[in-house]
Amino acid sequence: MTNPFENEDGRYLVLVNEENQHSLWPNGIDVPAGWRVTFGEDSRQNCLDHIEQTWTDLRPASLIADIAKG
Amino acid sequence: MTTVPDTLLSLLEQRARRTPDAPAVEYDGTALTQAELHAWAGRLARVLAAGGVGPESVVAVAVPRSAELIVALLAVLKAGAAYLPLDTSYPKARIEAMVADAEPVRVLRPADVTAARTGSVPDVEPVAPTPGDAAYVIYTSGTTNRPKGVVVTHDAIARRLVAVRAEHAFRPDDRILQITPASFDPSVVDIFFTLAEGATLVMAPPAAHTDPELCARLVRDERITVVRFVPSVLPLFLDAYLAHGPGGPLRMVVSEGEALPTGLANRFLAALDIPLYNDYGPTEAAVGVSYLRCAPSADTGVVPIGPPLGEVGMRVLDERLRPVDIGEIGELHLSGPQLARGYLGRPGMTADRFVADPFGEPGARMYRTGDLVRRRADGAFDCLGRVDHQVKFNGVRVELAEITGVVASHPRVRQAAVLVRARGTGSPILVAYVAPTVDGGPDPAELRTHCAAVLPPMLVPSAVVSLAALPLLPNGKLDRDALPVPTAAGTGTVASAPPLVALLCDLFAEVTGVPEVGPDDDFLALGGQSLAAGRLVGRLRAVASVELPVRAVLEAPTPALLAARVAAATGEVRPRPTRAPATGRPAPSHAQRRLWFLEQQGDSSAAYNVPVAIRLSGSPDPVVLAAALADLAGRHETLRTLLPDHDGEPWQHVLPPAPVDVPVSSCDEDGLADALRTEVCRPFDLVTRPPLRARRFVLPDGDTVLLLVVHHTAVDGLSAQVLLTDLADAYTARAAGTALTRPEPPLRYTDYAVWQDALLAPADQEGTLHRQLAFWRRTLADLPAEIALPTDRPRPETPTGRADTVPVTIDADLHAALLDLARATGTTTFMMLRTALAALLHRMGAGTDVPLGGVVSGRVDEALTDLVGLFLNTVVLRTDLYGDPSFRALLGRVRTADLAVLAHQDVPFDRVVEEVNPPRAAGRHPLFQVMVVQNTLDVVPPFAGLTGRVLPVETGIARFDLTLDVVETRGDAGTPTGVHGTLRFATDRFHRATAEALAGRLVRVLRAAVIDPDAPVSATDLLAPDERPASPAPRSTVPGGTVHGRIADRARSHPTAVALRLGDDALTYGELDARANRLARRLVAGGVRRGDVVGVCLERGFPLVVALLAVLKAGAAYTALDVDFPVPRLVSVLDRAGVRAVLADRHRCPDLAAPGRWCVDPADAVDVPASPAVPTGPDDAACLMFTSGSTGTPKAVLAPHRALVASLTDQEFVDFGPGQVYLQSAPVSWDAFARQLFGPLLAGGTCVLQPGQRPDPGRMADAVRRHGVTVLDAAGSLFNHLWDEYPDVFARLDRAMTGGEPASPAHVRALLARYPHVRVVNGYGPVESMGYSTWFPIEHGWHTDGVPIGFPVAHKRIHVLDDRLRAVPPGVTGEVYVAGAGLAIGYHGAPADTAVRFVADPHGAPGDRMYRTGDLGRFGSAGALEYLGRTDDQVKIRGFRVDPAEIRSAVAAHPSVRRAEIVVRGKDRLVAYVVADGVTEADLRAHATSRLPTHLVPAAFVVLAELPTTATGKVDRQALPDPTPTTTPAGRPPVTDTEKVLCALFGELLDVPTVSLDDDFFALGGHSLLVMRLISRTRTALRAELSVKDVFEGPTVAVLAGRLARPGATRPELRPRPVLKEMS
Repeated sequence: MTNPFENEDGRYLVLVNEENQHSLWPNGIDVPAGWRVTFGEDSRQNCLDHIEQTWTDLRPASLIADIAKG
Repeated sequence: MTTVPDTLLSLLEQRARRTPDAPAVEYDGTALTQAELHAWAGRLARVLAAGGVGPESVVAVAVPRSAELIVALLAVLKAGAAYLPLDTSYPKARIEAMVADAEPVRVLRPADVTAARTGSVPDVEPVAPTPGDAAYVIYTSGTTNRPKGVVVTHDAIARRLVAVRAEHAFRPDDRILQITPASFDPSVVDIFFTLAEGATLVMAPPAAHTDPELCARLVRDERITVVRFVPSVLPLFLDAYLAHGPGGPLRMVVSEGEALPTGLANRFLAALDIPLYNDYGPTEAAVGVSYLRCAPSADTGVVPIGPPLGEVGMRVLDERLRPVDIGEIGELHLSGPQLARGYLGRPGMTADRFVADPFGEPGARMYRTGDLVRRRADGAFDCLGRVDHQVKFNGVRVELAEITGVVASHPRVRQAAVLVRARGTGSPILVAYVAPTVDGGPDPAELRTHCAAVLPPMLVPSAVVSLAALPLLPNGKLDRDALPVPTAAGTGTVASAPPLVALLCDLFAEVTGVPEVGPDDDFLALGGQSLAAGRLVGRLRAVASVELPVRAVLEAPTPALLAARVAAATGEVRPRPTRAPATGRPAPSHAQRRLWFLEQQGDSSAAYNVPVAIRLSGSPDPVVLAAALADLAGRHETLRTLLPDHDGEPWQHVLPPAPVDVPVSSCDEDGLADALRTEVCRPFDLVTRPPLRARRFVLPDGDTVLLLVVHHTAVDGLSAQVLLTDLADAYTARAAGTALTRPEPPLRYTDYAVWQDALLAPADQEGTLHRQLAFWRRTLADLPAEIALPTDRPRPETPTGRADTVPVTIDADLHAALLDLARATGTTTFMMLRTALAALLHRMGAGTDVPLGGVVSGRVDEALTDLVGLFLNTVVLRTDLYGDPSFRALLGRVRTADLAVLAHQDVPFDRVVEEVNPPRAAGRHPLFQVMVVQNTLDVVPPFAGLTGRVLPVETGIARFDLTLDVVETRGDAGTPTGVHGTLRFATDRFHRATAEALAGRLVRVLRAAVIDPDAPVSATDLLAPDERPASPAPRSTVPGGTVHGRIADRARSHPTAVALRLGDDALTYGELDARANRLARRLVAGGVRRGDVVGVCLERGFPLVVALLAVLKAGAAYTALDVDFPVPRLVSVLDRAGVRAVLADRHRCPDLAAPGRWCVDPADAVDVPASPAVPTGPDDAACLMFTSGSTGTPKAVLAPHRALVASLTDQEFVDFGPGQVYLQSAPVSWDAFARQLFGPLLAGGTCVLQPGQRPDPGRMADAVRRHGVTVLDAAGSLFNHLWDEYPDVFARLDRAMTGGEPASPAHVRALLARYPHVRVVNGYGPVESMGYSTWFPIEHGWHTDGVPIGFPVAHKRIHVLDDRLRAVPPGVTGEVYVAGAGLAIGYHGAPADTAVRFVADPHGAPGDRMYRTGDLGRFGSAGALEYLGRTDDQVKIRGFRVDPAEIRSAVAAHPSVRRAEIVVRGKDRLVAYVVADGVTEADLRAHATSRLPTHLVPAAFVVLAELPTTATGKVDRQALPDPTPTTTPAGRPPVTDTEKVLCALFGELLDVPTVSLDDDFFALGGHSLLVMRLISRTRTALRAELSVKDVFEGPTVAVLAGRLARPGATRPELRPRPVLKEMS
């Protein structure tokens, strides 16, 4: 079975939820509720590059905000 | 304007000088280097020069595609002349016209080229061409029935080649397939650009340009990197290329010659991740003036062209030669130095097309392309067609006027027009419309012959439409729109056509796009042209394994005619069976012999007994019935044939007709089925008794059931109807006092056997047997030995062979819809059912290569139809589901495969099995395990006054895992009334419920197929409404808070409760919390802040636990470092985690500290026991754990407090609470560490710390006894080892938990048998979801072969999903995803890795994530999850997740290692294969030990000269040698007592009889768990202590004995124990 996230030749999206958590997503599969597309579709590598560049803090957005409050 | 002082020749010669030894040309095994090519061409050039050839001469080259062709072209250039390519396949008249026009001074033929290779050549120095000299003359279609020669200069073509270097340059390592005929100008680029760039030109065979399948094969076989195609051929090539999957050698494809449809480009780009270029340019401007890299586009239409290349000008002008605006349409004009000189000998035409350029330098020219384009804002141009009626047809520019001229020149044609028309799904075709003269026009064939005499094959119209007069517009011009589209419908397949003709009809239909083709339909009339003929030849090769030239299709253009060619090509002339002279001992048929052998092998079960039961409305006369049965047996010899043996071979002993005994018994309705089964299941003795018996059952209502049982050697499915009819008619005749008057059957079964023997004569090397076996060998190559079925039970070693059935019901509506689809696709209902079954099995996890069993009737001749006997043959129907085809596409594949099978149906199945020789296994049917059979509803004629009906008899016998048996029923007017199916399942493997679910899913697949046959088969929803996953439950109340907060709560409420024990020491909750507070304040004072990661590198003990809690209290996350790990690895971990503070023993701090990172001993705590009160919550990171990662470095999993608290609180799998004593033995680096430590601490229980860093069975046992441990938690191997060595420790346990690797049922069973009170739990879960995600309570009496991983633990969810992330049905294997509160934050510092594994959860609440485990699993019986292995390269070795890539990169870091590959041998042995110089296995092990945790150190290192590779360049793992454990042959014997004991221990643990001093523990098969056992045994036997490191560093007895001799190496024995106990 080919995993849908591991197709080097596939087309992908980048999804983001309210906590700013990112998810690679196979283009052509319905985007789950609570997620929006922020990049793509594009090649897998381009999506991964985009994630590397934009998702610089993996912690949930609410935690980051909480820590920032002091 | 710059000038390029090059000539084409100088470019080529420069290259030859630079890389003389580089390969230049390959053809059919011949390879020429640059130097060889130039030397050869140079010799030929001298010959030419001596003959007066020089600049501005034209030399014709009439050489087919070969290395010689390239030599000839180059030689002409070297001689300074221009070459004129002549395609020898053109009509003579056309070649003559070209020669007359160009007046070449010389014609080069292959013999001329060959002759120049060796021997003497004239000593004449050729004159080199100058840039202005002509390089070649290429003819293109002309308007006036006369082709025109375009003269291109060296300067023009050299500029073209130099200009294109920028982007789609060929590289020296490129291999270009030369397929374009030299007579078309794209060949100039193929050939000369390749040679000039130093790449390799691979010459395709002459017919390749019309054979896309051959091209695709060549590309793969010859590792071609670049190909150029016209768009007509590209899709065909793409199909053929992709048939082997998307990967391959190609790195670039160029489309040229005609407009490239956007859809095609999109399809290409979606399928292949390599660039596709759209080249544009006419012959008149040196082949190409622009190229564009295609990008996916939403536009319809064609890919644009442009921007201009190099110095080319592309200008769009209106009819008054004014430039048009962006968005306006105009004619494209080209200017610049690439323009051709003009048309040879046609000054007028040249001046007409090459006109003064109003925009260029004074005196410059521009070429009117005749192409209508629209300027785009981005600098490119949209192509909109032609100004004139010139068209592109399969990449060739066609002047319809030229063809029209030829058509009109036929003496009986009055008026003619020729158009290119698209029709249906086939390729466009050339259609000639003709109005005849009064003499009557030519028929199509005649007209085509007329045209073929002057025109190249592709310009001959394939369809001819005769009209009384051509329709005209009012202005007198031809009204093109009024010309009818030819309706080249075929005449339809004739049902009775022989299989080969039917196959050809089908293939004709496929390649021409005409739906129904009859045996006498003409290929060309159907619209077939040379390209389609090429495809046809390719399909024939694939389907029928026949090699025919493309020419054959044009010479024998109907299926009937071509069939003769095919038959001739294969030598197959199937003789008809005839009446054979009687012989003494007639041989049995092949099928009879096979069954006889089975019987002789003692397999005399009733598996091959065939029942025929009829229920009669009343009581037949016993005397009449007996007579009728005698008549029946008299008529059909098989029913009275014995199979005795003679010298070990069976023969058909036909007994004289004799009465048949019909015993009678009475029976009630309820007992009938059993009575019938009992009778059917009585075996036959084929040697002494006839294979027919009968019995009457009298029922209470007066009906009679007549049961005939016939052995399969005498009957088959189609025989039943014959049998019934003959019996009923005989009965009726006898009842009337007469006899059956039907004529004797023309043939007997013995005749058939003789005929079959002759047909399959093994001696005939060219004969049917060899040919068909070759077909099967090829067709079944690499067939999976067994397909994965959604079974409930593994195959038992001794199958019972029992079966049960469930119905498959297809109602009349679905039946009707299936028939409609069958009609639309040229298939049958049965094919559709088979396709659906294959699709279903594929969806249920059977893979993309699904073999199904089927039967063919074998009644190959009409004379056999009325015989009762065994004719049928079993065949394998291999179904290819690669690439997620639509149902319609799959149906097409099934149909083609079926046709091919039909053409090779004669060879008996057992011969096929022998030939293919698949791996066998008991109870597994070879080659296929699932059978599909179509049956017909047999009709019972009246028995005199009695009516009868067939009664199904259930034998309960399974010959296959699954058998689908279908009967189509029709109403009076043939209306579909439904399909009655039966799914028979082997009860050894399936539960009834599973079979019922399968039957339901099959119907769902069929329904989906008729609703949308074009949807991919993966799209079908297989789940019944009640099986769909319930929408996620509302988020259950997940326990909140933080780890340290909850522990602090316990400390407040139960300060004196014991939290930790180690040896004799204990620490209360109150003390623990206070000490942690003190240290936390020290950390905060030192600068640790919320959100930091703090390293903790301490030996197992109270300070370690205090340190971890302190880190959490400081608001940071801890990363626990194993003190036994190599320092470089620890430092690398600290660096990667960005750790700025480390807690470690004072003596370790210098190693771990670094600029920007301080290290402190936890003893240096401040003396304030109050919490630092750093605010933290469940989302804060709590710990960072490292797990094996694919990039060669471990992955850092960052888990929040929530994950720990939720995973370890309120769980059913264990009671962590007060009163429970939990043993902590896992090393700090494992995720089990957190469970074993925080599980009890969060719940107020006691955690006992095992002394030492690693789990040590002896110490664990000691701790359990000493502290009254109630919960023991050990990974699989360790668990098993504990049971083997210290079974008593389980006696007082409350719970035993195992996990991390598949549990051993044998150990669990033994444990439960002895201590039934112990609750045994099997756990499963990735570290990314914090330890256990599922658990399974193993109860006493659990007896299946595997232990499931069970059910989700509290607060977590499990999905098993398919490759479209849909929940798979129960029983189907999918990938396991974990969701819920245990999820980690992600991989620290690796956002992309995180986003790839922690992905959006389509089955959760909005915004939820799920973790993709990479594990395969399925929900088995009772809804428990079963673990089925890994999806990727990762492996689990003794419970550790191991990524070979990580080990590989560590091993490869050794300076002497050039390459390394890691392979898991057997269940759990890591073997490193390395290519290295001057290193020993010991060097490599020492190196690996210094960088890797011991469980990742390979057990064996094998140094090889090089790693074997597969054809694709990957490491061929199959070819790596297995390092079988070997003892050192000349090893020294042990001398001292220590040595003797160690040798004995080695031998016992490794199961080796004798061990010498020099034997290596690992070379003998040792691995890290065995190291632990060796240490434990050494301690017991020698009262001496070895460390893991000792064993890894010096794994021989000699070295270890030396270590033990050190002072202080012994310690007190823990438990007296016999030295060498029998291993359990």
